[in-house]
Amino acid sequence: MSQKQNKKNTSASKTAPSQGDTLSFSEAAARVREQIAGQHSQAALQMAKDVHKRCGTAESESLLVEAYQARIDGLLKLGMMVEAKALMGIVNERFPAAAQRLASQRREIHALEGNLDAAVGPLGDPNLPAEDRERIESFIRRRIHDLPALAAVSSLPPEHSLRVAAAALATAFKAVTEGRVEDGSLALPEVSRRSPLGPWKALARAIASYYRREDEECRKWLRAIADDSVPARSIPAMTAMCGGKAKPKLSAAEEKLVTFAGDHGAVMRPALAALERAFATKKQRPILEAARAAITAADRCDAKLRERLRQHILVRGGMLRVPLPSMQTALGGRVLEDAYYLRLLARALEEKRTAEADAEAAMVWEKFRAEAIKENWFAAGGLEDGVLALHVARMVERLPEELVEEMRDRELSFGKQGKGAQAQGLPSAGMLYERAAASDPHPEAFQMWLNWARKRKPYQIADHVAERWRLLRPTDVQPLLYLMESAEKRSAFKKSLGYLEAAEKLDRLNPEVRRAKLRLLLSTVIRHLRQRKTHLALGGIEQIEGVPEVRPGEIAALAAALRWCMAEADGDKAAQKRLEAELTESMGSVSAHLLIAATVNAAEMKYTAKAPPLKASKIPAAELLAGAVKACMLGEWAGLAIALPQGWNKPLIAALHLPTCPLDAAQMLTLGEAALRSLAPELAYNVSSVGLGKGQANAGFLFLRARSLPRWAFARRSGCFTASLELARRERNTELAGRILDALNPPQPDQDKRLSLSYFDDAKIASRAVSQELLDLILEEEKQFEQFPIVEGYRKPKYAEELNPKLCDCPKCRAKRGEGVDAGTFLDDDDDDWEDDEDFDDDEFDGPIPALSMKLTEMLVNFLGKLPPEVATKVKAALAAGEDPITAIERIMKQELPKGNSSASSNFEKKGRAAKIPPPPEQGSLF
Amino acid sequence: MNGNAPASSDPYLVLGLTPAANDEQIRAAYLAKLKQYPPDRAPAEFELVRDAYELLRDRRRRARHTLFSVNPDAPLESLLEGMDTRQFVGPGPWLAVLKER
Repeated sequence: MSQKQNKKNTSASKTAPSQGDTLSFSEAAARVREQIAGQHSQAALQMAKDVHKRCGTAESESLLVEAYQARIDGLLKLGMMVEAKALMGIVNERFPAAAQRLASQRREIHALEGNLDAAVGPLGDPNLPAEDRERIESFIRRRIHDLPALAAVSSLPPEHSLRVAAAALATAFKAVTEGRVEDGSLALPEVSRRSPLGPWKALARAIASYYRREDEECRKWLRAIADDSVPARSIPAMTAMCGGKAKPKLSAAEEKLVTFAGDHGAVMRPALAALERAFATKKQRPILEAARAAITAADRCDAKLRERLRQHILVRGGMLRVPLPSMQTALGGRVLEDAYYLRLLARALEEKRTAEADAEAAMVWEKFRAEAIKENWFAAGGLEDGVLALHVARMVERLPEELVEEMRDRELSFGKQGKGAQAQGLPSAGMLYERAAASDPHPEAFQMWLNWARKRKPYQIADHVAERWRLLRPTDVQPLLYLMESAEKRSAFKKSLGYLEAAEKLDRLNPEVRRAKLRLLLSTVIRHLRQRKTHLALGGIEQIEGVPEVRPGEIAALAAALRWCMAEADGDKAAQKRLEAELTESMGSVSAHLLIAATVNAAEMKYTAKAPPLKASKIPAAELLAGAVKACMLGEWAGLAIALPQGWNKPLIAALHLPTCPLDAAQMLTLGEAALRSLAPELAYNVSSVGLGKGQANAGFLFLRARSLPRWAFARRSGCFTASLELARRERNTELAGRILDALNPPQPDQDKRLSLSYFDDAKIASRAVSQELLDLILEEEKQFEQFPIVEGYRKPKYAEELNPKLCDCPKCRAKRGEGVDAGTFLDDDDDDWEDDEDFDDDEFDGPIPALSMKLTEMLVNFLGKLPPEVATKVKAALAAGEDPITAIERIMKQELPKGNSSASSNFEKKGRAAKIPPPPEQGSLF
Repeated sequence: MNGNAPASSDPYLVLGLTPAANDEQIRAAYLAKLKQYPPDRAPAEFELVRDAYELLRDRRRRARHTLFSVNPDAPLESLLEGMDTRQFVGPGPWLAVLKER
């Protein structure tokens, strides 16, 4: 107190006696009590001292003690416990009789000193007057917050109800603040309703209800808490946490409680919903504003959750092309680029389903991998590493070559930037496959790697993969079979046989091994026959006859056909006739004819030998079909290409559509492949129609259809390829998926360039995502297209729109349509968006035959110029009628080829060689 | 997850596990959930539990889920799922408020 105030009080006190001299005791007492009520305990005390000094009566002493009580209370409120205790000491000394009146102040001091023993000790006296008991209990209710200490007071026996209740409540309080507790566990029979600790029971239940999200129940328990109790101090904070209106200003401790334990979801949900609506508008300004609001609402929530939200919002905004700096500002700075974020970003890029986005995604996945290993998501070289590498490898493999080159250049320029700058460019598919196989060596991974390597040159790349496979999985036969095949292609027959023997050692009974053995032996015999080394061919045929049969009679039939060629080479007509009869008897005339024709063709004897004649018109269609299928199945199994004569198309098609057609899916697909090889797309198409109608092996039949469709039916081709690839992937039919991808991949720069007539980007098909709805639509519509398409009356499929969606509702497309675009709308200024690239509008091509590309036109013109004029005229007429160029040329050339060994034929052959007739396209490269 | 019906399609949430759970923990959690949701009494929940187990018991499928299941287009509110936004903070912050007069 200042000296001025002291002087004031002194002067006041000096005045008081003079006033007191005039004032009666009762008036002076009233004045003292006024001061006490006004919280002026010091002035009240001084006045009381003066009154007692003047009067010196029992009443004035009582008044003085009252003033002392008020003063001690005042000091305690100010936290001046030492002074309060000293003053209490003085009062006890001067007024011993007043000790009882100071009991509550004494208890308060005990409590503040932590001396609960002294504060509550009197409760242990059974003779304690009720009034005193009530005062102590009131004190406990209003002041005691340390339940464990209360439970441990030594001045009360352990079994005292207060101690028992305090212990039970301390345990319950800890439980409800640390975890979820059901109501049943909070019965707390130790705590009676009238106990001074009763409000704690209500508080425990309120907290438990809060965490169970039973807010109404929580509020009910809060209302049951006595206003003057210690637990009542938590009501404002809890009201705020339950979403109610709290007092205007919370204390620091209350704020902290609300921050850490409050329901952040209740605040965040509306803000997040608003942000979702903003994203739906795709407008930059609303997105940024809503993002800012959402992050503000998330201010008080768990730091990890808050960061996740920031990461998700940034990625969503990025996919909508909101500029990165603006997003970062709205989110309050850069986000943590940890493994979680990178994974999220990579997945978001994949969802864009464009080649460039896939390339970016591949690079982000590499960054994710490095970060994930650092953060111990998985170990380098572990299973997850392998799964990830396989996923990214498949993505990279589908990328167009020119994009890969561009990204590689980007990588190189990146690598040149200063020290420490790491080139994190596009990883190569080969490297990824290798990592996948090393980390998770299973057959699927190796097969995919091998499929990739087979398209590369030199051949050693694929051989190396097969060797690695063999090393890491020594009991798998597939790598051995591949190495065998590879050696055979290079005419390294000894090596090839060595691999076959190794495969047989592993699994002689494996159907693949047996098939491979047959194919190798057949290939060897064919080679010998071409060289007319019949003595060597005989040895091979005898070995073939030793191969176990898959279907009865087939090996013998194959051997018979090969012997027929051998007899042809030896000029043994009698043997040929005998073998023809044998074959006809075992396989039927149709199969016999086709088998012999196929072996003659393979042995390059077609200009000298003729298969036994067969008049297809005299054979019932069903028998023709059965015989053709039988031969094709054998040919497919043995690796012998069976060609179906052109004249058989109509009867075979008719037989296919008979209700009694007995073919299963495998047989039909084999027939279809043979039809494609035989340049009979209409037959192949009809096979696909029957197959799709039966609803089996849809992936295979759609693939067949895609290759049988005319080149000008782009939308349908695209749809069939897309659907077949998607189905193959879903069925995990990697073999079929690989074949489809092979058919789609453009020829590599160092591969033989066939007549590449792709008018659209097949890589788009390979990486296109297909929804179930689109798949169903394609399948449904293709089933309805039963007839082989011709130009007249052709209609574009309805699913074409879904495959190449036109302008959507985004601001850019609306602008293209001439619709108004709101202010603040950001526009996509990236002109390299593949999806918007309408360079290849299907409408342009999906109709009458389009003009051929300049290159193709030039080649054709050159070719036609070297043909005899009448032949060239026929070819041109066929092209104008819509026939496939290759098909037309092959057909007309065969028709026009003079029969027998005439000078005309040799002249014609010379002209043909001069014209550089392209070799017949193989399966898969027809289109 | 105590007493909660399996929620969401996240197999870890369904079985009440963290992504760091190993094979033994996954199996133990599955068996515990089977007792909680037997097929005859809770067929829908049982199916969720079974599907979750089938996914997690296969290490390759589990790895694929870990790597590729995140959905960048998922509603932002879904991030709050499984995260108790009412945090348990222990008695400390509560007592700090109760100590104030």
